[in-house]
Amino acid sequence: MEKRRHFFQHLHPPMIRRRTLHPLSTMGLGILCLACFLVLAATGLTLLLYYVPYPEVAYDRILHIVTALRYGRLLRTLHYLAANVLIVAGILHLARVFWTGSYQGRGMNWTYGLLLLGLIFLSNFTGYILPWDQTSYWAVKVGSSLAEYFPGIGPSLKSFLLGGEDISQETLLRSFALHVAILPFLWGLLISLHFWRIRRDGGLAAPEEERPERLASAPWLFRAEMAAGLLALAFLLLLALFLEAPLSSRADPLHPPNPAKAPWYFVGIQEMVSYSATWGGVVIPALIGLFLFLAPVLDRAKPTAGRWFARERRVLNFIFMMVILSQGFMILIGQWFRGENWVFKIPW
Amino acid sequence: MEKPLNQINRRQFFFQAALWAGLGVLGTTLAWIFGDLWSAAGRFSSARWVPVTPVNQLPLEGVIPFPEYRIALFRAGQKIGAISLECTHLGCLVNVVDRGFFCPCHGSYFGPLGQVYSGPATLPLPWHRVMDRGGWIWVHLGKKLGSRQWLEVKQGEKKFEKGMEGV
Repeated sequence: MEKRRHFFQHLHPPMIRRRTLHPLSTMGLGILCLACFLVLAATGLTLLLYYVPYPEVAYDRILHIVTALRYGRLLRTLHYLAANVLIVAGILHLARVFWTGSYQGRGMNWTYGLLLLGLIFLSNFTGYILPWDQTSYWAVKVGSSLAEYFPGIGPSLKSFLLGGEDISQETLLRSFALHVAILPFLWGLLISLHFWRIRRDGGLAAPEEERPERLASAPWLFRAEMAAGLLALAFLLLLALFLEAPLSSRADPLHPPNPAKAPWYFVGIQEMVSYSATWGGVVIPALIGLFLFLAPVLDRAKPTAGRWFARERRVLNFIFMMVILSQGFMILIGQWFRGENWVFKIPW
Repeated sequence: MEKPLNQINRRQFFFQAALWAGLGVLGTTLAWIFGDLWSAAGRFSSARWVPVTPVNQLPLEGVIPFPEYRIALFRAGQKIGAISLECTHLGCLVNVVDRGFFCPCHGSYFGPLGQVYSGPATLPLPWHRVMDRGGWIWVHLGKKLGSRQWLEVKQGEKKFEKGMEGV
């Protein structure tokens, strides 16, 4: 029987290695990211029907969405949860690719992945201001002033993001435009490139000896992806039962909270800046960025692709582990152990 | 020998049936939720449903005018109603007076529930739909009602919800 191939079959190779399906090969993290993205697209496009990017109105519209609109609270909570889960899932996906050495010989897709990670942060940050509440207003204020520490492009990056020297009506409109049009366009582009590149590079990276075992993608790979996607959706819905997207009081430019904290994913940088603006705000973030982008070049080990924590790559793996742990630690301290005037406090 | 993929036994059949039924339920639920959200603008546009005041800031008895929304809220114990302040004669804003409403333009006089006491108006003041969401009284400004409509609220213990302070 002549089988017709549909779009999703063209997206995948016709045959895959058996190990591709093993849960430990990828832990389904890429699919988790994709599922988050799809949830974000569905909920985001729906929120777009009700939101107005104007300071006088934005907060009321959000309040309206979560109080008067049926399922509105669920809608906003899902968008919020998927966005935050996407940050964590994106970083874990990056870590999986790094620790299995899967970027070896795939520098291009590694770069696309890093750019996608940048998009995750940009999308989260531009979405943060949209409710125009007190928390988001001051978080974006702090976050954008962190950008200013960066020499050269810093100040112009800040004034580009804010549409001026300070948060204003322009900031809201600009964040909105980036959040719902410009960044999603780049998302579509980079996700397509990212997926296409996996196929071009011959599927998941795998050690030489495991290459011959092959299976048809249809149905096995599709089933595995569907299962991972459904688990991700179930996870988000389950979280939505217990958590709710926060909304504090209306943004008040005259009354800064103390301490004013950046969004949690930038609190690590804020914590580092509190020790030294140059080291914490410029040198260390730049080194981390350089390390990530140059990893395929720095890696001189023979191909170990697909093996977790290969001995040959232990130095790089260790450095990466230190980066993740130290940044996690900085976020932990900044988020929960800092009180008024950024003084250390015990949260209990 | 492996069976062809398109032959399944009874157990596999039931498993697949359950899987597809589950996916169908999930898909239908999500489609329902999103369909409802997409079609809700007519019902829930903020031009129509407006949060007017927290429940616990209304006195237990009395009429409070909200001229900016062209309505007044009544409260009689646990019952709350919203009446239009637009005179049914030519649409002037009526004033709340001791026993009812008085129109300064042409002297129409309405009773405490909007009934016509004296002309030139001939129709009673219309009412609006009222609901209680998150401790706030929301009034549907988009449509006037010919009949009286009351909202029952529990006695004053409703608290502000998180995030509502700024409204």
